[in-house]
Amino acid sequence: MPDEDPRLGLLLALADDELVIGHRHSEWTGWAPYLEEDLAFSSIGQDEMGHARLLYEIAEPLAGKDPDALALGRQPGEYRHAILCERPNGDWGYTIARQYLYDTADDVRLAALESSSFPELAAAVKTIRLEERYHLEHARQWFTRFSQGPVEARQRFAQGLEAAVGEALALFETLPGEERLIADGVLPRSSEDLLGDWLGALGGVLEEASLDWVLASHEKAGGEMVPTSSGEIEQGPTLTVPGLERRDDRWVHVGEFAGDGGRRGKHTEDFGVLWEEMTALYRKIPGATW
Amino acid sequence: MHIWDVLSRRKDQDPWEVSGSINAPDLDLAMMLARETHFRHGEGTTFALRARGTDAIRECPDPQGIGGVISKEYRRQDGYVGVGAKLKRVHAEMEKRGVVIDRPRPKGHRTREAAGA
Repeated sequence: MPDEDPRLGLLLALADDELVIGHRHSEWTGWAPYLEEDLAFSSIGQDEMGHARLLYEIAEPLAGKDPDALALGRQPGEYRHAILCERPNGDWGYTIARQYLYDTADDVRLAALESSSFPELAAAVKTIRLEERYHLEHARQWFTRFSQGPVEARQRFAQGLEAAVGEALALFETLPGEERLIADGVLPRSSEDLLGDWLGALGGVLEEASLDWVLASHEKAGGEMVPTSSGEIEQGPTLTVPGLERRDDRWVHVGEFAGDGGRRGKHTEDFGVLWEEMTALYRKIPGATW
Repeated sequence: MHIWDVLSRRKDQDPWEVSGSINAPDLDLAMMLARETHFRHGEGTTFALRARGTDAIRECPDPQGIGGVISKEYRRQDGYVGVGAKLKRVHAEMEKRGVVIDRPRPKGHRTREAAGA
């Protein structure tokens, strides 16, 4: 990882986020609250996996591995997704809370990447955003309904936000080699800068729905942090959830951004279980096509 | 929960045709769910909704991009259409080479031609 082209780290972070959260979404197939939503959410999951494939194709020459090998042929500690994406679905309230946080954050970073100096990435992002706007609409529709009640729905949604928001901040964890990415214009704005934008907008929406208390009381979700690689993981920053503070009528991130390790290959036991299932066929029949 | 009839136009000039129906509590959610359940693969250029039992038609306000932009042909159920013909072509090609890898039908099975179909 130390000698890796930082563009590969960026592509894998984006693609792995999409692949893993897409896989989690797909677990709702057959179980969503009602048929129409079952189809809609399954389709969103497939979209995310399609976006992952597009990004893996761009990463192929940098990684020297084909998209299938990148998606399914790596060890758990080689995946760069944020830990938020690997968490089990929980109830529908948590799932929608996570989808809202993820897709609004994804929108902020994709909007920035449209002006990336990496032409293949900029072009892919423009295409991806055409579909992501529907994911945003889906998340916002459910946000509105849950936040307006009935009481139990609002409460469970708020609990979902509370559980997910801390780990959602780490979607903007500083990337390996980020300084070079910014200097080269590949990443037009720093992760910390993007986090500020997202958090400001999120705070406003939550305040309007009288749900901003979840920002003040957010806490790290359950699950012990364990390294899942073969032990070759670069030692990242301390695994702490960054703090939030309200200043000048705006929620802001305070202190040094520590991140949560996902961008450096540190994951939870939850990902170990998901990885076993997600890659089982590929590991059993290497090179299989279908 | 209300029932909404889903109407579509295959091409811009085509008349509205009923594509199916969905359940949704209100128009906003119905629009989103109709697009996701009926138009994920470019099945039409636009669509509209009509609350069951009423006449008012509400057109999709933003039909651009329905059907998605990333290739998803592989997940269409009619992607399996033509598999039988493909198998026949493979068998014919193999027979030319003197190889029989399988039989398309069990020996003695009444073919469609023999049955006068």
